[in-house]
Amino acid sequence: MQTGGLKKARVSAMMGVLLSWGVSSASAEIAPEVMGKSTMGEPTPTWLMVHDAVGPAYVFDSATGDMQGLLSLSGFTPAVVVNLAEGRAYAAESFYSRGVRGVRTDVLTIYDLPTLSPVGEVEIPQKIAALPFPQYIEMLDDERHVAVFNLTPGMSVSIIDVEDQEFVDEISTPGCALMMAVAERGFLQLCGDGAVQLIRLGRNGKEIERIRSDAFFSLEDDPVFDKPVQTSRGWLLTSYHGLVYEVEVDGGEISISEPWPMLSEADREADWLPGGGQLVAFHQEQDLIFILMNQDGEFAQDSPGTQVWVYNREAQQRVAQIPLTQDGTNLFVSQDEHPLLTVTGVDAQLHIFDVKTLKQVRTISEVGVAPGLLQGF
Amino acid sequence: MQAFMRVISIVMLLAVQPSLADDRADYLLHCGGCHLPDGRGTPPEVPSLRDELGKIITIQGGRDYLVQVPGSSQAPVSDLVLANIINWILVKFNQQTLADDFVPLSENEVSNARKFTLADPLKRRDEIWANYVD
Amino acid sequence: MKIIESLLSRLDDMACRSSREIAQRSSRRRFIGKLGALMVGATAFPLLPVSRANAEPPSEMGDPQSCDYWRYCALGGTLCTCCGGSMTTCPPGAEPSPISWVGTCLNPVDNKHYLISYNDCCGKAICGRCFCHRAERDTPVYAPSKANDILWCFGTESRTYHCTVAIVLGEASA
Repeated sequence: MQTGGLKKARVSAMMGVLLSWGVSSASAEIAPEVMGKSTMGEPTPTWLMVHDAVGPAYVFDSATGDMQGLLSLSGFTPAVVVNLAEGRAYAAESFYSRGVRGVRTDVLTIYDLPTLSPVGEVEIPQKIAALPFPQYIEMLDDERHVAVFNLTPGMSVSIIDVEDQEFVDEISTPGCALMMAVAERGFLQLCGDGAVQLIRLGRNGKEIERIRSDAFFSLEDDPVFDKPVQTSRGWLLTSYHGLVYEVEVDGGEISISEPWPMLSEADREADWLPGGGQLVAFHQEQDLIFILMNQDGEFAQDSPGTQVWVYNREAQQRVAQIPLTQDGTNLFVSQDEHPLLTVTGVDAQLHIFDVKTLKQVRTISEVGVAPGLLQGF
Repeated sequence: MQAFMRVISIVMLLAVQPSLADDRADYLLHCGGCHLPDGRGTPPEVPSLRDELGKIITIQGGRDYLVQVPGSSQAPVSDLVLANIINWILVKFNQQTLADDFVPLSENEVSNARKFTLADPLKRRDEIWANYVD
Repeated sequence: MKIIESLLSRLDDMACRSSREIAQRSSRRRFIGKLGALMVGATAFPLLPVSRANAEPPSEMGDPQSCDYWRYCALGGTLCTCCGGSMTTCPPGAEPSPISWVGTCLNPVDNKHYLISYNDCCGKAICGRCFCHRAERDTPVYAPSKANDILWCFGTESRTYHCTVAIVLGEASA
């Protein structure tokens, strides 16, 4: 348990004020102060990390708008994974000895959450994929092995044992990218032939099994976005044309649901299509899918969304549309009873919406140079 | 005689292809970004397509392997176009090693090989090369 | 490549859209001012009607410093033409990445599709000018040969991203 260092500091400052009141009633003199250190409090579901384009991740509470601290990350870091119980965050990082040039070192850095400071690192192959993608790093379900995606442009995955703090293996995965954790030290990948691949590791972190589904989508006709989101049962994929697929692993078998369309005939006629960076978010308890939509036509799959559409996954029905005052690139929804939806706007501000009322409740401004990827704890 | 056979096979190859210019364009579009316009790649990350391929197709499973590597099998092109691209690579970048009696890959051959997905392409490559006889 | 999605989609929106608008208003003037610098090999791209009767018709038109220029239909990054380089050369001291991804863009002048190689220039800090992100026929990263959301500084001394060039490789297949 972390006690709020900041709160402590406030209390002692107040005590100082009270004391000086007692001593001198004429004027409130500020007692001399000593510089100290804050520690970060315990993250709640409304806390999130906002990755700045130039590297660092800003920690905010979307319920208050207050910044909690900053994680200094390399400019090549795609995302981080968190183990809240252990109070740890893990980040794949890449550094050059002379800043933009010199000798390259790639590491998995182990960060302590209360201090947001590195407490360990494991050197890994100099291959980590850059650019912000949530599924370029993944914690397997044993909470001991972390998988890091490599792109050289050959594709492979580095496995790190974070308990023993050692690099375990590099697994070659040509044609398949991203890692989506599933049960029993497994992870799924999306492949260019329209299939998903399941790789399972043994206790020692070495690959023991690899199977592939039948192809279920067409790269040419309607590829799925490379931004899968986790549901309570598996992983949810959305396609360029708004089809929703769910992928589950059951008893060693990969199963893919029949896709359902997010867009009605009328939506399509009005040119609505999904688009954005991190364009999908999912609320586990309320079974809600949030997705950015725009009307910029074909090839606008990366363009910012002008609205967030909300779907009930089970009912396969749209339940709300949230028009954005600023076009949005990234989404995050807090996993609590009264969810808050955070949207990274093209104005470099965070726009927070109350999912129940669909009203914007807050704007967080001055979030680094170019805020993008959003991650929870 | 050998040279004559080579000319014959290349002429045959040309005969089954609609246009070499298109094959080059297809190569550039689907392969050339990583393997570079002249096929030399940036080994070991991006394998070279020069000279070695003439050898690998003489090994059991080698022809299929060229179709089954993800860069080939997952390219968004038809079986015919994929056959043409691979044949173009063989003729263009592998003159030194291509057998005189080289028979171009057919659409049918590509179609059959492409149905089979390699679980671990690098492992398969090692298996194939293990059977190479110079 | 797309240096960082948020940055780019934001700046695409802010810079590109506005630069597109600006380009429509001022590309001709800007273009004329830079005409000398923009001659690429034998293909210059005059914007004005050519006075000489037997002059070659223009092969390209538009402002290569604007995101809406035809060659940039699938470029993600910053334009080297704005950073001291050209459409085919890296700015001084930046290292060209041999590896690229190849897209197809329509040249409105001759109505032909051309193969465009998007090569990153690397080893220097990002050139924070002319951010541009367009995604014609761009695929997700699991199909990397057509994906612009990748840092394409491969096979270079440093993979620090500086800017991107757009090189015509030839005509696309019919």
